[in-house]
Amino acid sequence: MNHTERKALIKAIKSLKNAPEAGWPSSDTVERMDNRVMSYVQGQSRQSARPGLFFVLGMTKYLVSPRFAYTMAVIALMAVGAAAAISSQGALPGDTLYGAKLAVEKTQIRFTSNPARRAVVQMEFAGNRLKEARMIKQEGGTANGRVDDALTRFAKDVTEATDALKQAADPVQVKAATSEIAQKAEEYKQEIEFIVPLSKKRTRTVGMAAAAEQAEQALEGVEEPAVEEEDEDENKDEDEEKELEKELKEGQVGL
Amino acid sequence: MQKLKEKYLVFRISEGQDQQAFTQLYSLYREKIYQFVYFKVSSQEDAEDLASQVFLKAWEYLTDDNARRVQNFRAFIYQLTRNLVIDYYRMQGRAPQNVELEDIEEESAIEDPRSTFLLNQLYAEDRKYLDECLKQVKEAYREVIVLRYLEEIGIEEIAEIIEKNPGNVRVLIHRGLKSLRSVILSSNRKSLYEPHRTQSTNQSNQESEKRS
Repeated sequence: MNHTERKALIKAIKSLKNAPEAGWPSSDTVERMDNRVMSYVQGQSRQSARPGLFFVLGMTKYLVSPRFAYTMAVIALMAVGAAAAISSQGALPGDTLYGAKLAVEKTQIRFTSNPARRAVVQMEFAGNRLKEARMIKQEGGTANGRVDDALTRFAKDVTEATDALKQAADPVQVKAATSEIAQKAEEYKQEIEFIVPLSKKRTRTVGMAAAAEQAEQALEGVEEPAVEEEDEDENKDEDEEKELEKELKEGQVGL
Repeated sequence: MQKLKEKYLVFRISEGQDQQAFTQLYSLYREKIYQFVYFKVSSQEDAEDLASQVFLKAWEYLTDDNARRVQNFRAFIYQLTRNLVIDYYRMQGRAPQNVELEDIEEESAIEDPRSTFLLNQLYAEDRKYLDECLKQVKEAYREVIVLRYLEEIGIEEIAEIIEKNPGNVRVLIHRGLKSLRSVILSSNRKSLYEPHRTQSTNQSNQESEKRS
């Protein structure tokens, strides 16, 4: 059967649609069917259901496929999470969204697979703790231990940063990260001085002393970037070789 | 959108035995189901009886808290119809005609240079005759042809209705069309295309005489 024949055949079959000579029911037939079916249904039906909350919920549950509902739920959760992350950025210790802020930072650290990069990121977040401590101090909230809390977390972040750096294997990455972390450490030392300054008697206010000490000790654990001594040694060797050659030529060295 | 509307109506029937919702669905499918049954049983009285039963059964099923199982009302109503017709056959002591997809092709296509011309003429003029030819095609083929070209249902949905895979449905449709074509061309009916047949039959008779 060629294409033309097939097309003609299909067209002819379609012409049977609604054709009485091809089984389409007459009006009499339809009327008889209606009488039979609808009389049975009428005897058993109730009035239209009035939409209430349970009806609407049930209908939604029925109409929406499980896969679609799951996808929408995931999108909604992600949207809520993103909104929480954005609004929690300015949160301080003791605020409702502070936990969300820390959770966002932890998530970011977890998704940083490179240990050297993770160390730098952790150190940056440590800086956030100092910023929080400074803001609390400026708001006058030093009395209720919130600054202590921030400083304690700062110390913990710095320690975790140095630990992460020890896990890094690539010497080039380690070198770059060490330099960056050390620079931040210097900045942070000055910041701690500002937040918890020594009095004229060079003692800190009781209560924040331990936290400040802990923070400074953590910064002491940050390694200084290595001085580039290898090049100097190489240059020294080269100079010595040239000197030796010169002496040999001039016969000053007896062999 | 139509499917969603039907789902909503099914839900209303299931939750509240809503007569108005059922009436809407019944009106949509009443004639189609009748014609579908007619092509199976070839009797108007039986078609009317069976088609009515289809909707009574559908009402009972839906009001028995089964709405969740009916994701596609159209597929559901056609499946219900098929099952009722099978029960009807059993009551009559008849076995429904099935075809194995591995069956050898029935008749080879008749290579007739007049066929396209004749078919075009035929199809344009006599639906009753085409209906009679269609009834001579095996039921399994006829069923898919009716669903595809009269009810205009997609292959995937037909597969769902007759519980086969889409590939099998395509094969059945292809064989069904070939079978219908063979029935038409091999028919002894002369009244419609006799003038054409006379002219070209004379020619072909002359040619065969020359050869012999």
